[in-house]
Amino acid sequence: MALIDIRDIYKIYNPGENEVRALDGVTLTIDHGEFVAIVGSSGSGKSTLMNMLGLLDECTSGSYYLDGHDVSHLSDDELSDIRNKQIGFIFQGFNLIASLTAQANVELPLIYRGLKKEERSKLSTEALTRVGLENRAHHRPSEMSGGQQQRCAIARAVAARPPVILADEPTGNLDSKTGKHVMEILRELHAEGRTIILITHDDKIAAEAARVIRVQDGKIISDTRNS
Amino acid sequence: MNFFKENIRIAVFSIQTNLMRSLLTMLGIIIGVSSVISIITIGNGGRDFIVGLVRDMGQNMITISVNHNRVDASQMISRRDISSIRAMEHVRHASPQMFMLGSFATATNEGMSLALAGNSDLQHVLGLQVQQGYFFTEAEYRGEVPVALIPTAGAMDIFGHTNVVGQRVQFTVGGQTETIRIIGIADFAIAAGGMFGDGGNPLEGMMDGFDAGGLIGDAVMVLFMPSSVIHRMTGGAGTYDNLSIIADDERNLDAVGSAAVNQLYITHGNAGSGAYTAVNMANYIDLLDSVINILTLFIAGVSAISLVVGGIGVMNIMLVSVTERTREIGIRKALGAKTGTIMMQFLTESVILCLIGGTIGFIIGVAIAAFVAWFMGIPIAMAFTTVAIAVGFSSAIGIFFGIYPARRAAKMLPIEALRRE
Repeated sequence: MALIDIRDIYKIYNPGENEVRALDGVTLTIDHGEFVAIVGSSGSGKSTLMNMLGLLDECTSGSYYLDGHDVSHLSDDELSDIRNKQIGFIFQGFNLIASLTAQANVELPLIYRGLKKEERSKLSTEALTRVGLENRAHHRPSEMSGGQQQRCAIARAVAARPPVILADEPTGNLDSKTGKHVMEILRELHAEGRTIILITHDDKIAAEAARVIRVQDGKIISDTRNS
Repeated sequence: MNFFKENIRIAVFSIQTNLMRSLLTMLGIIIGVSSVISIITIGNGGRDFIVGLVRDMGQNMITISVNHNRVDASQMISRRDISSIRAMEHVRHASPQMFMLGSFATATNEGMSLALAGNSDLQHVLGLQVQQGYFFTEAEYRGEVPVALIPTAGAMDIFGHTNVVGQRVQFTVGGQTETIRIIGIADFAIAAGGMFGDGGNPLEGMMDGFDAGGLIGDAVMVLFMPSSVIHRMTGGAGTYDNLSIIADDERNLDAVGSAAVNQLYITHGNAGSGAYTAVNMANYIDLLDSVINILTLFIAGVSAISLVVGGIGVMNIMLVSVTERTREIGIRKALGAKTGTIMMQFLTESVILCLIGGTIGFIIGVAIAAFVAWFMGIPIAMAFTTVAIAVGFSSAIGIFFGIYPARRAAKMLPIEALRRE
């Protein structure tokens, strides 16, 4: 059974004469343990697709099965629960909370999962250590470099050990050296058996994935596997 | 528990980072709570003070008055009426109170004179303490002997010393002049505190007032004297339109009052005419109490309006805070925060804001009340309910006005929230 199975997904803004079809009938399946890159230029609909896959946005029509469960008709709170347990997000803009330390940021999804303090600090320390930020745990985002912030965001995404990692342009705001480091961490996570979905406009980065899906004008125009 | 602690931490942090804004927001709550508390406290203290004063002035006192428009001269209270009422059970003292403005003259001084007259029980009815000499007797009252006592302050004003027993004063009223012999010095037993000036007594305060207004010459002489003397001088019928009775116990006030009134109706054969009314201090105190209560409630209600205004201020700030932190809300929702969690976070913040404001307001309110109480010389009457009202009101405002912004924040789609900068 596929991990992600979406069928005929449409996302239409301003329905009517000036309608914009951000997603125009997308059908896609992704299996457990895949490393998929979704590639497209800006405005192609790849970000919208990622928001759909991450359950951050509602589609206009279509169906979405996540791990065999229909998630297209769930309530707000049920969606929050699934995001918390199934998906780890890595955003282009890091999206760390400025007022919290690195460790507190990493612990956020663990708090929402309802874990106890000791367990939270164990998991968050583990996650920070794996991205090499163990000695930045008590720094706030403003006291860290861009690369450190992104590694912190990765730690947050993996701390709760979700099966799916959704990364939206994770190297977009980073120089090439730190970008490489981030990609390395993603590859490691993939090697551990996690499903990685990477959104990018950069073919070189996409080339690191096992499967590349190209999106244009809200449609999938190609779906190839790197050998 | 985790969420709760976390929420408090977030709320405190958010208030700290926007300290100035938070303080300005709290200002409304602070003003509201402090004015409610100070007004209620001062009101209660004032009531206790005034009620205490009234009670002291006329403990166990019943006042019987004659309704002038329903009686003719024959139905006024006579000396015989007073004698029979004095003989009644539970009656300690009974004296009419007569106030008569006249003038006086001594060898060195002259001016206005206020005679406070009655029978030998006048001492008890007015609450007088004899400092020197003796209070005039019932025999002197019956014999219309022209004697009088004067207060210490009056003795100092007019004679310059208190060694006045045996002095004579020319007293003129109704065109008649008589020589009055001073037989003692008597003062009101209750010092009324600072409220009526340093005279220490409402009546003396009133005198001071006349003085200051220049209505009366440079000296006013208060004379406590037998009313029979004044009746003789003015050619009156020797009857009274009022009678003050002092009962033996507070519990007998109503019974004694109605018994005395009945006695009067029987004697004068005018039952059912409504000629006589008995009012006791308990009635006065009840009336006074309710008047002050209504006043206090009214003023507290007015200041409660500022609490509502403060609450709207809190709502505004929470809306600003929600807008400012939309992105944070989006992140939290993306990471798995539920609607209720986000709502609790913002509600906690507004409740904390209001509780801090309420606490500051409470402290300021108590300080104001303490200062005013000290200034006016009244006791501080801090009630537990006042504190409960302050705390309850401010947290209620926090919840009530926090719900709308909190809901707005919580209901957002994560992607909408994340898109905002």
